[in-house]
Amino acid sequence: MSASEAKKITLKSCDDIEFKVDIRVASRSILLKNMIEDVGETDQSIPLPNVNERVLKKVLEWCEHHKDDPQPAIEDSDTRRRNTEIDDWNKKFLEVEQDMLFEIILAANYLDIKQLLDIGCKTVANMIKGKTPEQIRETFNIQNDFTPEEEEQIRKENEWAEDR
Amino acid sequence: MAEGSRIIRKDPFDIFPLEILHSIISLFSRKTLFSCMLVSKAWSNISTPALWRSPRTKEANKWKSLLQTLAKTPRYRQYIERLDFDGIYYIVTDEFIIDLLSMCKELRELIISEPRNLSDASIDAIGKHCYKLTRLHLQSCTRITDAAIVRLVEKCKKLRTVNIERSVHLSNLAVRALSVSCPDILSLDFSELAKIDDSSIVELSHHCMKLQSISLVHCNYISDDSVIALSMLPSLRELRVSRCNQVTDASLFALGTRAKELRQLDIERCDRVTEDGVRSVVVGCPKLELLRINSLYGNLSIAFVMEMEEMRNTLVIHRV
Repeated sequence: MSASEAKKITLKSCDDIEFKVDIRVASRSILLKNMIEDVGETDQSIPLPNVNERVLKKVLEWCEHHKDDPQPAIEDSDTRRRNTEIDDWNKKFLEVEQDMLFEIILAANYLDIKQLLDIGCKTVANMIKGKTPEQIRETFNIQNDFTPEEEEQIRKENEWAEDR
Repeated sequence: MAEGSRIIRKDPFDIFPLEILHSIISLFSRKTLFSCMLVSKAWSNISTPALWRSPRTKEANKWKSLLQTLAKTPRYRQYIERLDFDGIYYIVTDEFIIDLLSMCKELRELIISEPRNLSDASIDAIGKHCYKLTRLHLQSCTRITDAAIVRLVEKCKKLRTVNIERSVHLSNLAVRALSVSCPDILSLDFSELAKIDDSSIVELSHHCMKLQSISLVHCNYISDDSVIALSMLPSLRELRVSRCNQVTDASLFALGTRAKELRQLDIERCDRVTEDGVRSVVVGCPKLELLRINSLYGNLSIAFVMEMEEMRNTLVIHRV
């Protein structure tokens, strides 16, 4: 096995499509990084039962673009709070249909890719921020299961929060 | 292709596990959380605790409405973990605090700053109801007394962070009570408490072995005895003694010898400190990241500061 080949591993999506990727790229996923460290170099493909080809391709595109990023520093919860800015590359990367966005987030969660999970959550948050309850329901096709009386009660009990 | 017709829209609450929903919701303002509560029952269940975890509004009449809700609907009380009145001092009165805290048994953090008229009665209410408190700021509470603090710390033994800066009536008595009742304390701010002296700080450093951060800015009676005692704490990371005129190189020699975990040191306007002392800290404290000094008034030359910065290129030296 040559040196350049040794640095690759094979991932298999749940619909049986194989991807050969750089270890450095795959290691953006803490799940895969730990797996690679435990198993060592292997010719066997790693099955990812929770991720399909379409989503895995997209996630690997993200990992490829971020393969040289330093590992994220641990942000304290106060700086993270409210900060929903996303840089241009990531914003464009996540301009996808809603179901794809959700699947990317679930994959990032499963594969333990914290930065991708974070920008995914921020993207969903930005779809909700500043909207009225009705607009939020429309965005996600949600059924309102409150009676008018229940709704009125919640409004009244929480009116202190309405304008801030 | 007509994309609009085939967009699949799903409720995130049906798809995501709780921890992802919590991360999303943690990014919301109170106003957005209020909207989320009205979307559906599932959305309400998760956004209600998030909204009530740390309730706050700038308007007095909205606080009134909040108190009414808590009185009428006790289920909201369990969610309140943090109350921050920084910047809204005009809300804070004894009557208000006593009323509110009687319904906040789960409170972990309470921040009160510059109230006009807060008395010991409020401090007693904290001790009576909020024994789970871990963080307490009583900044510039100029009417509260040692006696109230003594009673408080007997009840609130879980306190880890206490800031009583500029609450000018507090003295050694309060410091001693704190150190005896809360030996696990991590962070203290006693800045501008003109009545405290070395005796209570030396005692504190014997009791509170986990202390990581202490601020004694402009405490005029604090001298080398305090800093030497504090330097023996195994976890000391931050020490602020700026404007303590009696602090000399002896303090810095002690820190340089023992305080191996020290990250931040503030000795601005400690005019008796010399280059020898500062060198001892820079050489002796391997984890030092931030050093605040004054180069204009003291004995520290620009050339010396540059030499120190060169020696430790990860160290930031603030010249005030």
